[in-house]
This record gives sequence, C-alpha cells and structure tokens, in this order.
Amino acid sequence: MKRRLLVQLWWVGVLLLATAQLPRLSLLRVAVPALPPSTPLDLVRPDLARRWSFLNAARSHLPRGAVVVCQAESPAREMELFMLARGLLTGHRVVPRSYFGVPTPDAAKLATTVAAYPCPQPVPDGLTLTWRGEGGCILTRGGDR
Amino acid sequence: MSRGLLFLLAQCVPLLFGIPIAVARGWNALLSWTWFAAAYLAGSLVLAVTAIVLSAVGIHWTVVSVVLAGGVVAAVIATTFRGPVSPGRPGRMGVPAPALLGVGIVAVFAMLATATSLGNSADFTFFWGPKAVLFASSRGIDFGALAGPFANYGHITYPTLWPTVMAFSAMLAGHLPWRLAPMLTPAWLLLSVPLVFVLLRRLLGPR
Repeated sequence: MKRRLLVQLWWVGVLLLATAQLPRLSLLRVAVPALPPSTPLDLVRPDLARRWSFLNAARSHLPRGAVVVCQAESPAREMELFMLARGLLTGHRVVPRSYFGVPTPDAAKLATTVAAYPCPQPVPDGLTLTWRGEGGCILTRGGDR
Repeated sequence: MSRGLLFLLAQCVPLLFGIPIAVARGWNALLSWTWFAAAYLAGSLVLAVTAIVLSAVGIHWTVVSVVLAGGVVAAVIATTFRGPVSPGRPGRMGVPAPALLGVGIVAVFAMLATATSLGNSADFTFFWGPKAVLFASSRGIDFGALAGPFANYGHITYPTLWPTVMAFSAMLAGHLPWRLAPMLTPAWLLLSVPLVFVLLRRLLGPR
C-alpha cells in the first residue's frame, strides 16, 4: 500500500512538472528553424547575444597582448560586457571600467585598448578607432601614452 | 580532426576513469545503462578532484599528467571500495514504458533546447564558461587569477566540477566551443536518471 501510494505521488509530481513546462514547447517553433544559433544566447538574451557576437568578432582585431577595458552605455551593461570579455578575449588582459556600478579608474587606466559597445560618437580624444564591428568598435590609446 | 569533435572525444576521459569504479562497485550488474551513467559521473568527479590537486601542488595539466594521476586515483578507489553496493541483485529492473517515454521526451526537449540556445543560461557566458577558458589557458586552476581584485563576480568559492571537466576538454581541443559545450549539460541530467531509478527501485523493492 505504501509502495502504491509512493508511486502515485511520484506520478502526480511528474505530471505537474510536465504540465508546467508545456507552454515552453511552443517556443521550439521559433527555435528550431533558427538552428544553429550564432551565439549561445540567441534565444535567451538577444541583447547579450549581440554583445557576445561583437566581442567574438573583435578578438581577431585586438593587438597581441592588449590590456582591454570594456565600455558600455551604463554600469550594468558595462559589467555584463566585462564578464563576457573575460571568457571571449583569451590571450588578453581584460579590466573593468566599472565593477558592479563602482568606477574603477585605476584599473581602466592600465588599458591600452577599449572595447566599446556601442561605439562612442565622436571618438574621445586620445583614442584612435582601429576597428568597427556590428554595434561596437575597438579603440586604441594613442598620443597620451 | 575538428576542434568540436576533439572536445567531444575528450569527454571519454572521465568515462575511462569511472569504468573501473563502476565495475568494482558492482554497478555493471544492474541495468546495462546504469553503469555507464555511474562511470561518467564518478569519472568526472575523479577528473575534477585530480585536476584541482595537481594545480594545488603546482603541476600543470597535460594529457599525460591528468590521465596518469586520474588513472591512479581511479584505480585506488576501485581497489579500496571493491564490492557490490549492497549484497545481492536488486531484483528485476524492468523499466516501465511510460517512464521510458517520459525520459525520452525530456531528453529530446533538453537537447533541442540547448542546441537552439533556448535552454541556455547567461551564467554560462558570465561565469562557468570563462572559468573553463581560464583554467584551460592556464593549464590548471589559476588560483592567482581567482584571488584577483575583479574575480569575485565569478563565484570563486563554488565547486569547480563542471568548469574543470570543460576546461580539460577545452585544453585538448584548443578552445572552448561556446555553442557546443552547453549541449553537453543535459547529459548530466539524463545520466542521473538511471541512477535515481535504481535507487528508487531499491527503496521500493522489486516490482
């Protein structure tokens, strides 16, 4: 009897969990035609996927051994760009311009290169535009260093 | 050979570590697929612990150092803890057809969800993937980088099982295949299914 009750309880749990996930099945109608995704985040965070694509394309345009600082339109975006860059820009040292919203000028001034998303207009003084990608650009410090 | 294929083949290393442990513990006497699951999961644990210990004593990861050390650890575990998990066979292990169907549906959905990126998490690109990349490029656990001033966002005190297993494969493949690696995550869930099934069957008794 105890065994029967356990099995029945187990099936109730399974059906509850399965039912809760049913609406997600409809998402596959959108997802499957888009195979393969261009980034690991296409259908999770499209905004983040665009940043990921930018950094992925940018890495072949970075000077060897560059110290890279990530620049974005808000501290939250900047933190996300920094975390993505840590994984994608292998072979380079990535430093934050701000860390969880707190500016980090001492770290940022070490940078020789800026990965900016979006690309600032106009290009700030002391920086040279070296590559422009989809939504962002690479700027290198010149003159003042 | 493509890097992606090399990355997948590297996943056989945990399996090699785990097979002697699974066999020594008598898991191969259970469902034919249970020992495979136990072997992969136990082997991954052996790989992760071995890799961490190698880094702690200052030995860089190479194929030779990790495979040799992991092989020794696996052999010691298999020899020390020999014998079935519990005496006797656990009874008939027939799998109910509805359960098999349910697991099959979940498996297909999980694979599709990760293949299409629908089931991925941003945390993979924020924390776990970058950690795997860091370990692979450093050929070990880079304790210095983890203790750095801007590293604490990456959950540095979390156990590094997944990043370490991925890092070893990435090291062999030459890079982390960002779109392929998430597709391996459902494997961990699906491999735990036969183990949970056997444990429940033991709990509930023979059918």
